[in-house]
Amino acid sequence: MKQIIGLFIGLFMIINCYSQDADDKNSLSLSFGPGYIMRQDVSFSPFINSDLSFLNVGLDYTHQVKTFQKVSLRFGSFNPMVSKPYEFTVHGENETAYPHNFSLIDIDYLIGKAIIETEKSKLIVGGVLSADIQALNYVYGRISSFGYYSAFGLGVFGRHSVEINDKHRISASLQLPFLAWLSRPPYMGIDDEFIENISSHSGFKTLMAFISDGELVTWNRLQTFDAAMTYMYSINEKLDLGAGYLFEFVHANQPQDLISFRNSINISLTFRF
Amino acid sequence: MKKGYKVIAFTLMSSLIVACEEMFIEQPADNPEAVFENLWTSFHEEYAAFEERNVDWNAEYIIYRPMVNPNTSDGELFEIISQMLGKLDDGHVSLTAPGRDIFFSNRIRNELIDDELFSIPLVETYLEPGFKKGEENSYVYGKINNENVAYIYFDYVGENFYKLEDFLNNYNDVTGYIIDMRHNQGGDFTYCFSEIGRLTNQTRYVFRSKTKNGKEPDDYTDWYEWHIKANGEYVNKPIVVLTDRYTISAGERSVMAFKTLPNVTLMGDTTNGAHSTMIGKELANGWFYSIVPQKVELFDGKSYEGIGLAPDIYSKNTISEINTRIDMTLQRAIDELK
Repeated sequence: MKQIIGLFIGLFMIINCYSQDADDKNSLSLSFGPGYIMRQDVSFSPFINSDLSFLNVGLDYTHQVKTFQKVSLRFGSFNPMVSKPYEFTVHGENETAYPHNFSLIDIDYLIGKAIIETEKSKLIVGGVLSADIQALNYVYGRISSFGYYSAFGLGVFGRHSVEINDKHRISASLQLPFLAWLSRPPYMGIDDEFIENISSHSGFKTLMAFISDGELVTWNRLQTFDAAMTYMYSINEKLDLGAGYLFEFVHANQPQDLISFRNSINISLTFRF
Repeated sequence: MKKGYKVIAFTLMSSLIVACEEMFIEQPADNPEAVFENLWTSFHEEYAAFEERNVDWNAEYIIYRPMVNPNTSDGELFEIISQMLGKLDDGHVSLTAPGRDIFFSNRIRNELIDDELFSIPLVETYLEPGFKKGEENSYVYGKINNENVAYIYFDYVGENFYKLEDFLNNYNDVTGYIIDMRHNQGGDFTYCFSEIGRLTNQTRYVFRSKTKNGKEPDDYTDWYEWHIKANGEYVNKPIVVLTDRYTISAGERSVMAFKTLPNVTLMGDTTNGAHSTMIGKELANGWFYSIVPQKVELFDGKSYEGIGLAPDIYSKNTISEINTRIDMTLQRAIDELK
């Protein structure tokens, strides 16, 4: 784990030194909109847990001159349930069966260069560091199980943008991590190492323990990518209004199958400075 | 160009969604037969205590599977599955369905047998005024009336165990302690293990456990050993730990830890005998069940799953004692520490 963190920090520093451009051109973008998740983690359920949620927000910072750099933070919360919430009783006392709760955080850092550039279009390719952290509270009536998924990945990305005219732009991008530090719960969602990891009774220490129990994987163990399309309308020199579609895919095959895909549609407001 | 993007976007989205949907593992269907099959198979592949509980799961299938058909009603299905799970008599196995009382496989828990033989309001009458208690009686502690004995009760095993330190500090001059684990509902035994450090002067091996990690009968993780460790100023005084048939799960694992201490006497009734870790599962019709994917062996190398931890001194309250405001088991513990 220490080597991986060291590798990531080193890479980040090299990239940062390399990318000290003059004439900054920055933008900050806030996006929100509905997302639909379909997730099947066999360690916790044989069912496809799906939910439509409007609690999906994103914040992007982009710096672009000679190099393209972007830091992206996204959060989504979903409450899937096989049935609708319902009442049941425990020796006559009323209780409610609530949905599961999935909280998903994605943090990405992208850096790249334009390899094809014309008057109206630009193709940027580069590297991406990504951190996907998911806290999954599976609720089964009176009982709940905590699940997690974290993948700290290193990969490539491509982004093609086209300027239709002065007011309208569209872009499409693909992020493809090919190496990741993957942490997932054990086969049954719980075992003694899992219990040992939570025995610190500290949320942060537990998170670190879960992450450190992970392993380095490549595409043979974890297949994941993000694909996005964005349309931007320029309101004025400083502000853009946008609409986007984001598709995120995760497939891991050990200790049990996890397949997840999320479709999100968002509206964004971008401030350029 | 614009049209080209639309075509690419549509094609990409459609192909991604179709491709991904095909990747999902087929879900169990939502009909009575499929629900039964899903639950039975899940126990067959993941339940760890058939041997300890002397249950032939294949034989149960032969008995109960023919009772389910496509026209079986929800009520009938709940009854059939409950009867089958009832054979396990496992305090950790339950079935939850809309609008119904939860079914507990363990007869004691399901029928609340002798539940009324323990009463916190009655225990409180034994304590000097000013005793402390947590929200919803998560803990209760104080000094026994007219005796140099301190008492603490834990309703479950969790953050309430942080109170053990306050308890030991507040009553450091007593002749002995009563730790009441009767009706302890369980929780997370690591809270007990992290807070018990003052009661031991050395590292003590408590139990080992292993968890299912595959579908085959012998697919388990390696054994994992759990110890308690000395931590803080050692308290070496006689301790009576009270138990009853409702002491379950992490409550029992905590009793296992207390049992390693040479100055501890277990008193009361045998614990429930359901101390392996429990997890929840869901069914296609929205029902839930709980299952036990773990084996536990006490420090003596024996499994007490389905048996329970027997007390050193047996004591069981009677309803007539309770009705006359006497907790005889608590009284015996006080007498033991006088």
